[in-house]
Amino acid sequence: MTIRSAASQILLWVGELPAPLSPEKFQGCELLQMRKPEEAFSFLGKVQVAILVAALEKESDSLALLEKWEQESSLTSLILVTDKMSTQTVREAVNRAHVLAVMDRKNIVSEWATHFKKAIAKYSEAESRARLLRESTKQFRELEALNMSLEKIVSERTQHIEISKQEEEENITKVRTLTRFIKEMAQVSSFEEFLLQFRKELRKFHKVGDPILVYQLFPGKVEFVSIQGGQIVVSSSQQEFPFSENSEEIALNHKSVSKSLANQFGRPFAKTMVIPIEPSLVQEAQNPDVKACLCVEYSVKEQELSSVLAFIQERLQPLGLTVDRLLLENELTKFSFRWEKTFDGIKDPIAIIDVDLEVLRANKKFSSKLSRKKCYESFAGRTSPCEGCPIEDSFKTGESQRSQIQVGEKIYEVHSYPINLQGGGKPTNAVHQYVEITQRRELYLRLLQSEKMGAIGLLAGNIAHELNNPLTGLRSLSQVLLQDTVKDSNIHNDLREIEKAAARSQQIIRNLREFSQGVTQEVRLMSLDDIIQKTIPMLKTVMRIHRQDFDLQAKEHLIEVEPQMIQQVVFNLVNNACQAMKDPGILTVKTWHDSKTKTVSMSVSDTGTGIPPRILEKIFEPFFTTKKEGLGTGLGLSLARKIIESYAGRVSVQTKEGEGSTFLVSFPEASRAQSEAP
Amino acid sequence: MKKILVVDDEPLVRRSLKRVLVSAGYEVAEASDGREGLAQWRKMKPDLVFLDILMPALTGPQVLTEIEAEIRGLAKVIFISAYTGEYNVESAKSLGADLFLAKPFDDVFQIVELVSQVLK
Repeated sequence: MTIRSAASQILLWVGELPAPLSPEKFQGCELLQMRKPEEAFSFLGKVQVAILVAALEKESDSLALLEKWEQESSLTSLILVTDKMSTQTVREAVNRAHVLAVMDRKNIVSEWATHFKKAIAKYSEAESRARLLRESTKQFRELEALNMSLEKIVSERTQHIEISKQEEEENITKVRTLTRFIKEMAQVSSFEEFLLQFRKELRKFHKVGDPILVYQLFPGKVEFVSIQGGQIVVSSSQQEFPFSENSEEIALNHKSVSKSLANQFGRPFAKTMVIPIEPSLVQEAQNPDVKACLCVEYSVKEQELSSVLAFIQERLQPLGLTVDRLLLENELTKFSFRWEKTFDGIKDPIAIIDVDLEVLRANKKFSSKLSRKKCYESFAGRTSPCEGCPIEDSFKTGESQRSQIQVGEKIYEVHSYPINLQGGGKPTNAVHQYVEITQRRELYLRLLQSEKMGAIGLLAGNIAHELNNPLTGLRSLSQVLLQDTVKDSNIHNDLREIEKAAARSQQIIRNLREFSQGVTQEVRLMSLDDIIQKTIPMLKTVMRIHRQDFDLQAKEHLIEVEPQMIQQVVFNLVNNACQAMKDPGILTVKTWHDSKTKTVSMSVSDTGTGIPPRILEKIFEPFFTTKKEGLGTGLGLSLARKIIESYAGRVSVQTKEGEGSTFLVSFPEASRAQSEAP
Repeated sequence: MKKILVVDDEPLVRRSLKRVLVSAGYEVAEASDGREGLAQWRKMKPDLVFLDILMPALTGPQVLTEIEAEIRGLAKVIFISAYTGEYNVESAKSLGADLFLAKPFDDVFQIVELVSQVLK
């Protein structure tokens, strides 16, 4: 607390007489002297008065002034100067005006200093106290105002925050339910699930019916998928698609849709909303004519309708996308099913193979098991690529190739079509079609054989003609000359040999022609021995290097056959026997008659390499051959067996590796009487 | 003396037939193809003609269609052929011949026998 400098303080002296004190007695206070109390009051409220001395002649005037002053300005130290000092006066002054001091006029000079000092001190104290109070009050006020505005701001903010929090929560819930809906829709895998899910979603609204999906894949046929009694019902009708508007707005009470639904379901559809669906995916991928919409019956009130519409509008996109996806999936499934069935339905094995020869996809004919194996493993059961497979050429050239491979006993023509599954230049895969041509080849070889035989027949005919003419002369002239020569002469004997040789030549030509003609001859009674003897001359070349051991003992016993066919059998068996012996060996041909079993039999033996057990069971199969390409057709033994069996005969083989083989053929003996009967 | 004409493009055939037939007492003329045979036939007016079927110029059956009926009427005709599979007595007769023989002949003397029977 600082005491103000005395100069700034004002002392009012109110009295008819001036203050009987020298100025220094006021110690720097500014002394204002006035005679009447009114003059003093003019200062009130304008100037801060530190000390007021009331020294009027009438004590009551002084007291009134002090009392009034005290009421207006409580800080001022009040001093009363009286002429008749009494306890009564002091009490009254203190009670009425809280006077600080009462002085006897007579004693002013002596007592002034003390009272003045006290008054100054009191004023300073009061004044500073008042100032403090003022200051703190002011600060309090400011603080209060600040506080109030702060409170306002805080409350405003809080309110705002609360509102936005609520909104946000609403939004979050909305987004959450929408997200959940989208997720659920994304997991939907059938129209059934879709409709049930959507129905569940619509349950929150009362008086909204079950959704019906209406779509068309091709113009003129409209499909309806609905829920009836908890079951999904799919029906269709031949008609135009009823909802042709190209809008994104939900249509209410669409007449042509309502009519269409009424026709389809046999009941009126009063209030129906049509949710447009834009199946752009399936339109692009499949067919631009694909159309779809969802229909929902409703009977909600006007004010609720807008929230239903808003609810659906929010879900328009996921709904549309889901239907689109399902339509596409349906189509793809159908497409892929159809394709798979087609693929599997093809009778040829087909596989899609990559550059590493791994099977990407294959039909059932290719392999019953689907595994990513190398093509040669699953198709041919091999450990290395099939010989002759065209795949390498196919990849190399980028053009389709074909060639033949052999798998077991089957021969396939492999068509290799290079394709690119990645959209680059080089082929990444090849489609392989395996056309089994075993039968075709069999036919081809048979045709070849018969053509060959036909050609030989023709050739034989020509040769016969060419040879028969000179032979005629040769033989006839020999016969003429034989007549002209002496019997048993050298010339006669020589001529006889010439004539015989000519006769033999003639026979060979005749046999050759018969054998090759291929004309079906009649079944005749024949001696097997005769047939063999007719055939042997044609095999002279192959038999040449081997020792020949013929033991024919069945000349008198006949069999009922087409001789030319049996000639073929003999020819094939003897030819095989000779070819089985790479080095000169022994060819043995025997015939005999067994009276017990009434059979006529023939055996053809060689001393060749024998037949390994693993191929023994196959030797009678058509096209099985161990001979080099071009040397055998693989038909010889199969044809032989076929011929033998067609005359109720049997054929068997005994073989020992390294020692040789014996083919045994037997026919039932024919009785002469039997054949002579008609 | 009966006259016989042998028409064949194979000299050995003609020669052997002529040889046995001349020694059997027939007058034998030869022709080496169909056209020559036709000329000889008209000139000689034979009692018997051996006629090969496949020959240069004219085939045997062609010769038969060319020859005038009154000359043809005087002679017996025997077709001879090395294509035994394609012809027989029936087909030969349908072509206008009387007999058919396949070449080579098994026994040339049997032919002489046959000729004497035909010309009886």
